[in-house]
Amino acid sequence: MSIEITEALISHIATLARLGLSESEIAEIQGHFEKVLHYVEALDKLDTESVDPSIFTNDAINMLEQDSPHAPLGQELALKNGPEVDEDSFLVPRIIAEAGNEAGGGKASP
Amino acid sequence: MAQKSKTQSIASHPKWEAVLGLEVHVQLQTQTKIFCRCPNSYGQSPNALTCPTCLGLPGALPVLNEKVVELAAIAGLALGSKVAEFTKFDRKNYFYPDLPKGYQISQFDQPICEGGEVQIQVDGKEKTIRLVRMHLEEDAGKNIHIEGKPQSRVDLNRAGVPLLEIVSEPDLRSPLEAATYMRKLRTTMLYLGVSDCNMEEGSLRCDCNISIRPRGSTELGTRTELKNINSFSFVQSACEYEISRQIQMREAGREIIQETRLYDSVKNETRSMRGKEEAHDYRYFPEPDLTPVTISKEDLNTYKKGLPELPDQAFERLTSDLDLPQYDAEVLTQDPEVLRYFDSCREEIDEPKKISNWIINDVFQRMNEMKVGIGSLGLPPERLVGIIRSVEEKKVSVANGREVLKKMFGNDQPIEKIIEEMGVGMISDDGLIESALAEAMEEHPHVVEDIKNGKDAAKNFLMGQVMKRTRGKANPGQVMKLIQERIL
Repeated sequence: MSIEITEALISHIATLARLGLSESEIAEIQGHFEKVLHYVEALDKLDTESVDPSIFTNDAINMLEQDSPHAPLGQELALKNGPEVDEDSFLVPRIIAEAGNEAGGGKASP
Repeated sequence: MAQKSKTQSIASHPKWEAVLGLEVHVQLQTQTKIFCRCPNSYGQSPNALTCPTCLGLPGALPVLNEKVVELAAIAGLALGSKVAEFTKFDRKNYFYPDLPKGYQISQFDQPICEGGEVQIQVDGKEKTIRLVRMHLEEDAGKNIHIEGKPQSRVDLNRAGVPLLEIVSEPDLRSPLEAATYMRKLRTTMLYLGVSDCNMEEGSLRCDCNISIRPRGSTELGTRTELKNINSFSFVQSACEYEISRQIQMREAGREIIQETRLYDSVKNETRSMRGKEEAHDYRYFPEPDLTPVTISKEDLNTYKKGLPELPDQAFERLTSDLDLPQYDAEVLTQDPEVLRYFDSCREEIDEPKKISNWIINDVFQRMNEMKVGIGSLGLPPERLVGIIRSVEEKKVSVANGREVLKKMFGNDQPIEKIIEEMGVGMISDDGLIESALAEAMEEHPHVVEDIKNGKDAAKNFLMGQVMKRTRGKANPGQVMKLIQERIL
């Protein structure tokens, strides 16, 4: 499973994670990544041909709840930890350049 | 009309063929959200319906709502999908302010339903649209951009509302087909009670994948994706615009770039959402906070047995068993509430075509004026049957009956009383009709001559004159009988 850890890959992952990295930090992280991957590569030595991919850490299954409402936190408590809020909403830096509201449905996925 | 002819011109473009696939998001009709028990309710004060889980606070754990599994399985069974015996959730990682955790819980490689199909009818032709899959996920919150402000507001009431995403194969060939497909999905979901499909509230919205290719080619062209379209007419106009844009590009020798575009319904154009391309790397991985889910054969059988009559079955019943014209059946089966209303009327009076006429003409007119569903008109089915009976029993003419009906919405006075107050009760009194007829004959002697000479159309003219003099209240059968007696 050897993946080549390039500077471009680090930059890409940093962008996805919204991290601004300097060139020296990229070089440093490159080393960390290689080390971690190398450590995990030990698994390649195992024969996993007959082993199903594990998708959950134990055998638990069907942990479900009934569809009956609990009391929500309420607006005041919900907003309490917001770094920036107004009377009823969280405030974030403007994201869309165009003016106007996002009509009807927002985005379910980008 | 102009829109339709434009659509047809794309569908029959000599050189290019459009290839469309839709991803439809349906908000499921549950009491609570998908992964927490906050109420699933629209139109509440911003952020009032939130808890540590849907706010994405550290340490909060999601727990799946069992109702969501049931509703998705029911939708799958109704659309002929294979409902998974084993399904799991995955994290889809991206940053956006309406997504507090920094990932959306969705389903990647083991969705709850795979395959299935939707039948649509366009220009009288049946077509099957195949489905790739349906998967469950959580809705995001809502960003509200305020004009002229450097900040946006975030309301997380919608964060965690259950969504079923229905992904079609690229089987659609025109904007009209796309809109028809979306309508059919909506009707089906309404019949199943899986979603209220309220488009104004965003309960049903879609993303369209659009490409074009030279007619006759079987390869797919580069596609663009239009996000978040929340009305049938927008689906149609957005696709029309995007297809024309792509044709123009290709004919000018330019390449189509794979990108996400936003439809602007005000300007009727699509715009590139630049800068997002690199973020299209979701790094899906299994959601460690949720256990996988199994669906037993017993549960599936129970759901299957409980499936209601579906739109196509209802259409078949109305056209074959009740002999209604296709148009009537199509209109009456659009909305299950209307169909139930129609069926309730039929329990009282076995006159399907008459009931249909009254609903399609008069009741719909009122629904459109008031912009409400049939159940909120203040006209229970037995009251509509009441006015149909009054017309049948010749207590009031059809034309006056329709006026009486207008006064019956939200009014529970006896129908006889409304007829009496309006003074439109049918006159079956020979004396009154005779004097009106005598007057009309005196005024139009040439018409009387025409009738004597065998001109049938003249009889109708005379009938009209009698109606005018009796304000439409004369019993038409009786008028005709008297015309025959007096003149012939």
